[in-house]
Amino acid sequence: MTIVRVTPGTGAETREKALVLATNGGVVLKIGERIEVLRDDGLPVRVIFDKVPDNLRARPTLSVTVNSAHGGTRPATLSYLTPGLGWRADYVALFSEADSKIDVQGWVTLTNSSGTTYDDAKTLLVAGSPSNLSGNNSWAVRRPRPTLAEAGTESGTRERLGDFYLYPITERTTIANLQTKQVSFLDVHGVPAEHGYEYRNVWLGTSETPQSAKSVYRFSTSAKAGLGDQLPAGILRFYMRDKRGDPQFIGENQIDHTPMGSIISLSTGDAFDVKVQPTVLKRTSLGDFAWRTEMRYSLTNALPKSVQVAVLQGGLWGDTTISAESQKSTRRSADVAEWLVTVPANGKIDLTATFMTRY
Amino acid sequence: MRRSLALMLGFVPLGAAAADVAVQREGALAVTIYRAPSRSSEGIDLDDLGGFALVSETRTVSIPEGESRIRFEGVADGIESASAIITGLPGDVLEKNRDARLLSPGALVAATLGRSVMLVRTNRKTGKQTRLPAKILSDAEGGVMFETAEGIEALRCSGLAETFSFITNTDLAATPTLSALVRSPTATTVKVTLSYLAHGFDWTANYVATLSPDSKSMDLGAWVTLANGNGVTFPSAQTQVVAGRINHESGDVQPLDMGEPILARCWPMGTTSDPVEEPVIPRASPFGDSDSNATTFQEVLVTAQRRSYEAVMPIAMSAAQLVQEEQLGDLKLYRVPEHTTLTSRQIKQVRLLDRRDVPVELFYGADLDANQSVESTAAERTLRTRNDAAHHLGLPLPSGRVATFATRKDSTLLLDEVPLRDVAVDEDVEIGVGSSADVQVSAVRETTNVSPRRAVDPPLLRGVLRFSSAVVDDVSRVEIHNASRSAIRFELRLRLDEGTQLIGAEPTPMSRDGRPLFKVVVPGQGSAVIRYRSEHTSVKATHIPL
Repeated sequence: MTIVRVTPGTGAETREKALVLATNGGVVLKIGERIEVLRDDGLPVRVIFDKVPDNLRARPTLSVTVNSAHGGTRPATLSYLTPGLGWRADYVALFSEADSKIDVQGWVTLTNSSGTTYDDAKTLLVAGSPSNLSGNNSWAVRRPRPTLAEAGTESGTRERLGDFYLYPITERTTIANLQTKQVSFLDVHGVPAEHGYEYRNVWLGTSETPQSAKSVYRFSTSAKAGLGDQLPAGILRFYMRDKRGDPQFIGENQIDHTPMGSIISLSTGDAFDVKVQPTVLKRTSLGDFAWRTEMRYSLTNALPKSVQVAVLQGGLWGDTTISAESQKSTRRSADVAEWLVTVPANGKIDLTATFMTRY
Repeated sequence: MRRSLALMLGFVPLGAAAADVAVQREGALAVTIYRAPSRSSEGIDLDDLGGFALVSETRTVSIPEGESRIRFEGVADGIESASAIITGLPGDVLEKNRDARLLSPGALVAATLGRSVMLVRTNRKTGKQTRLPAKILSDAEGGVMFETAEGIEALRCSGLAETFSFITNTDLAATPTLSALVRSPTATTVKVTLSYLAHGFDWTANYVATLSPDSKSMDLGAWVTLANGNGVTFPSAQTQVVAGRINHESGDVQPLDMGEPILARCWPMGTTSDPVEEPVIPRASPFGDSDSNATTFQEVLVTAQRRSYEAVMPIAMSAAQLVQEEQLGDLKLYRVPEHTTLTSRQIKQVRLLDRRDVPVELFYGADLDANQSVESTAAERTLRTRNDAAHHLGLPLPSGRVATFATRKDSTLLLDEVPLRDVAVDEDVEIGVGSSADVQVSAVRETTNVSPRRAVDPPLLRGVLRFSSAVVDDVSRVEIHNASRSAIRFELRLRLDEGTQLIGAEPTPMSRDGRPLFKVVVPGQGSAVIRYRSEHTSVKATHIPL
């Protein structure tokens, strides 16, 4: 390489050819017979390279070596998988309390952080979770509360590929680097939705303060009285109008890929005014490894209307039975008992149950 | 087709042929602030706000016929773009975009890659500039290389003052831009409403309880403390806060452009006179970081307690300035009565409530594990009241912090500051007001009796295992000593182990939340004793040697 020493002040330049001996910590040069450290004295020295080595590029580059019988221009197609591009769905649901209906809009949200802009691209979105060993499947996170209450059995008109649903973007679009793009795919109005409350208690869960019940919305994705579509995984945001008629956000939740005809039950958050206080009243050993557990669930409702709360007691392992209860329960599964309790307006009600367990 | 062609030729990120319409913010603005879903009752830190807000604004837009890109400027920095809802646009909304690629020195170099620039060198002494044409060979990520007629060089590695003068004009924006691509059948002027969720907001309730000298009632006032950590100001906004815990998914990761600087990445620059670097080991300071709370008070009260004093003094306000509460589904919405300007990086307080003469019961208490010996510990002081009209309350109390003050002549003293959960109407409220060294509690186990029972051989493991059980009978005593002049109410809550039963006690306990609760009155400068007997069955498995 060539080094150019620049005299400070005058700007006079002296040129010399140099050979690089090492680049450990500093650059050691051989200039003629002398050995020097580059810019050891801090004075300006320009380093000029004759050429860029062939294997160094401005940006990461993929190349192919071809052996062609004759030269010429021909079209070539390059296909590859890339991380950094992803999509999910975003839903906006406006809940009307008066007639218990929701309007739902669905948007496909596409993000590009791959470092490249894709100009004027024909874009096809695939819903489902194809395995890709290099990518991490962010939807595989276990939900603390299942959102799919009942899996559907209907087929829609969406294009399918194997078991994946395809969402083509109708017009060619430019996906710029670091862009978030949204394209509408669903817009339905007046779908019936139920609003209720749910409280899940763990086995021997006891609390000294009342705990908020979850506020739960339930609706169908069926063609009849439902959204009438498959729902790709994403976030569903609930809005509701305040007293002045302005929509306000009231909570959101994630949904998984949902087939058509399913029933979705989503919790948007905690209810301020509907609370449950679970209490282990008494736990008695009956000998021979059997126990009797008396539970009380105090339900309170500070709303001016009566509400129905689903109280779920989980952890009923083995052959646990309920020997006494203040109202009839149903078994959601061997492990979970459910009571549908109606709490009067501005009222309080106690639910009691006695469990017989063995171990 | 016109648009597709233009896109293929140009490098403009979006819709080259689409008319670009920038919309300034104007008109009605509404901000609803939600608290962090899992926030502890800590104070508010502008740099770390876990809550979020729903921002709604109305803008007037003139839209030309055909395709146009409507750019919304001045949205909050923390916008969650996927949540944006745009209503009122004519025709089809083809797509909504948020472009996070920003104009930065690094982006400028990247956009000029392979193109001509002017290299400018300045003589540090004379100030004389030399300009010569150059071409950029690499982007800023790994240091900038350029080529001139002389050869290839690395930017700013020579020690000379050198820089580029760019000729290219890029299309990059200064802040992330939200835009909508619309196709309108006619040219028209419409009112567009944009609403979106944005993080970098939070709010909390700050309660101030002032205890009366006889400790029988308190005045309760509260502030809504709301914060905007964004770099954007919301002028004259209708402001609301929402109480209650709602789900908010944090998985919304948006592409973020940090803006790359142009860094000189050169060859190793070590010289022969470099000192050998010694690793720096951070050491913990016994006093922590120096605490320079340079708040000056007119009068300084020194309390022998370890808490920082925040100046939250009760201020009497007229009722008209209180926030207005309304029910929003299962949440509570509080409206700031007048439009307010929420400036960037601001904390603001609005009055939530003012209640006078709330009857309270002050009691001393301890929460002990049954049959554990405990050396003398100070009893906890707690104020108890009920959130109903009889107690001059009866309104939802959103969670936050309660600072309790005691009045002493004309000054007030901080007793304690504790978190408060969301309290609905008709619920009991308990507020901790510190511990009292004057009331000491100790517990001791007096006797233990073990009466063995008949051993049991389990059917399947007969001859292998034998279970022997015994009934264990314990008597324990709890003593409360009161050094103050007046009699106090004392409550002892016992935590019994699984299967342990209380079979006798003096005085007779009540049961609350499934646990025994003893209520006693301890006379002034006197003592009280609680004695209880409990029983449980202890089981032991032993191997039977073959």
